Amino acid sequence: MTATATNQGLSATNLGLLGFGPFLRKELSEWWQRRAILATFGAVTVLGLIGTLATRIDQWVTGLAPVAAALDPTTNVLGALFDQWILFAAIFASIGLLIQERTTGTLAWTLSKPISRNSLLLAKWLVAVVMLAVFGLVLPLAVSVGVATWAYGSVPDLGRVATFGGVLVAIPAFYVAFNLALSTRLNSQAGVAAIAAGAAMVPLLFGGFLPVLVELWPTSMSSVAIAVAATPAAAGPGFDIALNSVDGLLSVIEVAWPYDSLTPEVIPASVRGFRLWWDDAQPVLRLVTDGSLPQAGDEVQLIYCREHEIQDLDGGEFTSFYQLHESGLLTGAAGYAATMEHVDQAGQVRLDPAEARTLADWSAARLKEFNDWLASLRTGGGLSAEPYGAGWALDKWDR
Amino acid sequence: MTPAIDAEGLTKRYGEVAALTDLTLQVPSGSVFGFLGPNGAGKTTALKILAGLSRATSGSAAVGGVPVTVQGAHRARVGYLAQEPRFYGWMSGRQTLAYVASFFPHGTRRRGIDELLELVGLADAADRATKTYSGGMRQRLGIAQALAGDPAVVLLDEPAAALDPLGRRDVLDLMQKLRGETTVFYSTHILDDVQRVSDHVAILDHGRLVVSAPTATLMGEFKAATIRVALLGAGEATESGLSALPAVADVAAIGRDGDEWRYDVTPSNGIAGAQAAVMRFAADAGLTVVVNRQESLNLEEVFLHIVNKERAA
Repeated sequence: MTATATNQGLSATNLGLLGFGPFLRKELSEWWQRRAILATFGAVTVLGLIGTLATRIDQWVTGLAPVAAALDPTTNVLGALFDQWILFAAIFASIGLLIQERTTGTLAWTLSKPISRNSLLLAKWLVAVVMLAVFGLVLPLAVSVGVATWAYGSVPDLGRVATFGGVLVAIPAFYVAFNLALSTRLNSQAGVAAIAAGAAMVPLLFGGFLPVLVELWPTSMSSVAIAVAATPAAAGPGFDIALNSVDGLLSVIEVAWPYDSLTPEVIPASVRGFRLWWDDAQPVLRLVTDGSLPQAGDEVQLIYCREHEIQDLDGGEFTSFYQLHESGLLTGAAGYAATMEHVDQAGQVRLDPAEARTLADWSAARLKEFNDWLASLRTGGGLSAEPYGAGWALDKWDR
Repeated sequence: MTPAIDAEGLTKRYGEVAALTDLTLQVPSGSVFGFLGPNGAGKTTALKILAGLSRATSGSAAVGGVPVTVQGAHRARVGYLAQEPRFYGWMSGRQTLAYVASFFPHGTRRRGIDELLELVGLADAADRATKTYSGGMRQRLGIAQALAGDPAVVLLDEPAAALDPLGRRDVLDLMQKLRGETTVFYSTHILDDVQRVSDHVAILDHGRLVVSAPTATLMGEFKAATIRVALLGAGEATESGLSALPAVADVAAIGRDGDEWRYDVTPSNGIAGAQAAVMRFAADAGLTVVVNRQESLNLEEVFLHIVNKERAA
């Protein structure tokens, strides 16, 4: 449209945010009226609590005592999948923000007042993000911190939890903006939800051949948030150590530096955080220290998990398992093999009942022997044997 | 004096369909301006463009000298009532007016919120949620919110369409009260309402402006081409007697009340000549002339006359 006269007393800046304040207040009032925000708070809190208590729940279900590292309250709070819950909450809460107003006619009514469209969108985005941050992150995280303190016996690192929550605000910030932008073009809430869900799947679908998506996609904030939370801002510089000499490395559990193998009882405290990442399929350990940097010749102690293999169990010539464990594994394998043989024969031939019972008893005895041996490893063994236990997370990121 | 609304060549197309074509219109400040047209004529489209809710395909408009844009600067001077007003159901009537007033720099300086609620007859329901309002109450609230920011121009799209006869009368009275205080530009297809309250009228048909003029001028321009005659003491033979007059082209008896007979007389060569011939005829026949005047058209007849003429052209 062609302008026919000058604006009277309204600069371009004023026009850009015309009507922002009144509409912001309306949005705040309206959010308070909605049950959605209470539902968001309730759902995220409950799901977050389940995640926070996962270690204790697992202990209760399996009856197995967790390793010390799994009882870290901060790790349990950060690993409670808050990124997933806030993602769903952000999609759910923002798909109808604009479309409902358009459908009911209140959008046109509001836009007949002195308000710019930018003001309207900005106010909607800002209030939604603040509400989701408060009711979908801050309060649920606060509840989880309290419960983690009770469940694991110490207060989580509040700085790390706050950093984690702060980074995760990027998820509602992105999704509310994304859905609002879609809603300016679409009239279907289902359509907006479908596209938003598709956006969340992008790293999953394309991350395999474009790994940068996994790191940079706004909905992949979980790994970024945990990494940032694991490396406090006050910490010193990072340092990369190539670990390609460790065959079949799966994960790193603990890192100690500067480490002196002559005095292993001294536990160094210079490592503030670490993260294992893969550079072109080669494992790299990124250390974040208290400010000092490793020097040539320094020792670093790693507690890690790696693949093991058994080749040709019957008369095999090689295994990477400890020799100490070979007899236990063979016992277990024999027990399973005897059980399978018993089942096969029972289904194919007429087995002498006495012979069948003998085979069954023998296999049951071997399996009990094997399971007892495994239980003794879990309770008395080192960390390197633990990650394969039932229900265990492979490491602090594997949740 | 700057017109309250100045539209120049406003055109709105939806693909191949032209909803509004080259609308050029000036609405004088302080007037009550009726925007007439049959359904689908383009009235609502024009009002939406003026409210900044729809972009014109071409042309320009200004309200109080401020250009109409979708950015909305001009809306600081405009109060707008949609054809089917919708509000936030969780707000009360009072909260709705306060919300609207908060967008305007001067709020409700001229009339307070309570006064506005009183004015539209919603004082008793002021604190009820608007989702409990009936259609008529929403229409009244719509008129109140259009006035809430003390706007220089009020755009009302069919303001009385959803109201019962009493509500309609109240709205028309309210519009008359606003005369001189603010400019009222309203669309309607109820011609009787326009004739009662509008001092200016524009007629739109098929998206094109057919005529725009002060109501009195427009009505004066459209006199009927017939003379209404009432004769006391007439009889069955009077109609043929009138028809035989050289100054009369046609006569139609339209009714009888006792001895008083009424006719519509079509002159053959001018109104005055026919009226004189009728007077002479009555004197010769010993009849008393009760009525002998040129008929005026009401707005509905004018509207139909104009629209039909336009469509025929």
